[in-house]
Amino acid sequence: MKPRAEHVGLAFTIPALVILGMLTFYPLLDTLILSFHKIDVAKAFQSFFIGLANYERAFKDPLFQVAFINTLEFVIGATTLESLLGLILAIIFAIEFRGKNKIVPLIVLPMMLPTIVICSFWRIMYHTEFGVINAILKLFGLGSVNWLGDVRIAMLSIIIVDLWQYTPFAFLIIYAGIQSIPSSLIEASLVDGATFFQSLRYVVLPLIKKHILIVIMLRIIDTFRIFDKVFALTGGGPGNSTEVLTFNIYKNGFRYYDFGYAAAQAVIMLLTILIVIVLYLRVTRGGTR
Amino acid sequence: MQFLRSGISKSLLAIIIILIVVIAGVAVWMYTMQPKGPRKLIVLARSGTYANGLKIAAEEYKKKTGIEVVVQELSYSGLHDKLVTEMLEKTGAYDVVMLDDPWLAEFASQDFLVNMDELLKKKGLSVDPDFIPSTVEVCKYKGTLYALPYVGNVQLFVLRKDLFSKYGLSTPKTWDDVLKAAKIIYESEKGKIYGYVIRGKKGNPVVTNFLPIFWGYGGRIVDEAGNPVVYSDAGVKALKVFIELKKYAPPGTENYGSAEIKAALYNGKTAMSIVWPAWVPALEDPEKSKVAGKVEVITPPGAQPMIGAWLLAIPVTSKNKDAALDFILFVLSKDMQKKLILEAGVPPTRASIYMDKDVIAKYPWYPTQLDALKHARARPRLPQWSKIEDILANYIHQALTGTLSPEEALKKAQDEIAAVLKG
Repeated sequence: MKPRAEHVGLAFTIPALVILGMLTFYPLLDTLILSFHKIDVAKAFQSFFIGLANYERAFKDPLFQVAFINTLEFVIGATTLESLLGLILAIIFAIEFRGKNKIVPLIVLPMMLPTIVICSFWRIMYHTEFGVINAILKLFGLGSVNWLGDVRIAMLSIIIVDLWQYTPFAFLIIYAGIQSIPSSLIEASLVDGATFFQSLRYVVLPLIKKHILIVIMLRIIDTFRIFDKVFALTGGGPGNSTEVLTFNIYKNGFRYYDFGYAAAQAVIMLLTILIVIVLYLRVTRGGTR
Repeated sequence: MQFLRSGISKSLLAIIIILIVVIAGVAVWMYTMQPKGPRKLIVLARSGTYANGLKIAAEEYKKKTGIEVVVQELSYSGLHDKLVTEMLEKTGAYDVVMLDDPWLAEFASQDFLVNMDELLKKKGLSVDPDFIPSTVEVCKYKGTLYALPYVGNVQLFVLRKDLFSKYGLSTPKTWDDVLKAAKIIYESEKGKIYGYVIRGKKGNPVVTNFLPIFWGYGGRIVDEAGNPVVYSDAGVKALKVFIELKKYAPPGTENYGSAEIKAALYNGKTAMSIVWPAWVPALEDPEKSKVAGKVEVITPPGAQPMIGAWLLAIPVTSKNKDAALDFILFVLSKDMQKKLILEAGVPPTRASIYMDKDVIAKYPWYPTQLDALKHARARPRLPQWSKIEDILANYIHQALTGTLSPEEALKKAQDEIAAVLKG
């Protein structure tokens, strides 16, 4: 019997599935199992089954609670602002103007740079004495700001760096959405007497709704994993204001060798993201209909 | 894809693909089976001055023995993480590793490091008495030697002697003196020059910056019985002084790392600071610093200065232990240590180099540094030091930024440290 097309197709995907399984599901399962154990550093890393004790500990741990709240702060702040800014930029660029095609590659530049490089120069820019941002503020007669040392501002400073890096991402996706709207639709609305804002609201926005929703979803997933910016810019400080989940997990695993506990925190983090995304998809009904 | 229709071509293609995979596999296998004689040593180092020193030594070593030494460099925390990974993965990727002295207990207690006592004895060698004893002490865990000292790092204190004579201030002997001087200079210079600068970035920086003040007032982290005693009158007083010093330091000092401290020093923006020796040469270099010739280097006020030696050790997973030891001894030889201090600015660990007239000609404060090293004090030799340091960083930083009172901060720190030590 000659193999049917689907069987051949399946056969070709099996290697990829095996690799995916090994690289994704196996570590996930391993982490889950690890979260139910205590790894004893003093006893040559032997593991002891302790059930849900790590999870109980996480919920009672004040640092974990702080990290959870800080992470949510970052996720909500960064996602909202990036999506909004990306939308505004995309709309601006939807309007034809000279030199537009030269500017678009520049806007995309921040996304191309490695995050550590970005953090290095933002750290210099944020310097209270020698940084360019405070220099400009002083020029306008506004006082200098303690960007990375003030408990109330540090998280915002990190959000700003993320904004700088990923608003282009939001912009690109929404811009592509706007480009895919047939211009005849816009022209028709203008002929019918719609103002710019009316055509925006009744024609453009509904058609790019699913692009905006995808941007928000992707940014939520990505911003939950914030690590390198905190690591490079503030080390979790000032005080506890920028301690985030990933940083906490990293310290527990790599510095304190408390792998079981770190695993439990990671699982809680994963479940949180899953719940958020599932709820999000439910509420937005996938952006269709 | 016409040719795939023919059955013969399909099997031919399959045979060719299988042959390629098999040949590739055999080639890789043969490559890994090559006898790994010590033709190449891999060294894992802390990037910057210390890695540069090792690279210079590596070049000389290759000229002498023909063995190539590759120096891989990482940041402070990157290096620690890599060591942890290697300890768990046991890949044998490194032959020589650099360790910050507080990490020794952590890695030695997990049997990750070769017993240096035994290795030296096996070769009929012993530790040269030329090495400054305090630097050798930090290479030991529970009395056994696990490393050899490479960088004679001890905290020093730098002050602007021009500003001190301008305001008639004498050299500070205690931290109370430092506070008074900082206030006077800050208020008189009206914000153009700060009295002090704190290396406040949360983590290792803020802890190493606070401990000299803590020890200066008599504070201790653990007592002889191993109980944490950070919450004490001395501790609270020290933390209050630390917070008070912030008033005379630049805004943003709570996040200053070594780069920002150096910028403040070289630009003449601060009258005093704790420094690590590697930062001092540039301070006296008119091409790099605006205050060359205007600074004085002294032992930090108060109790003993903090040692922060960098050590060279051999992981037990290394496949070239003898060659690794040979390279380490080469780096630590009198000639190499002298060369590295003169060419790369790596502070040596041999007393004789500190008294060498060529070295003193270039670095006039070296007698002070030698004295500081002889009286230096190490951080507690505990395997859980990383966690304790983070706990201290967490609470000191909260006190520094005003989130917690000094008393609350130290009390909470003590409770958490006690929990960690109890295990």
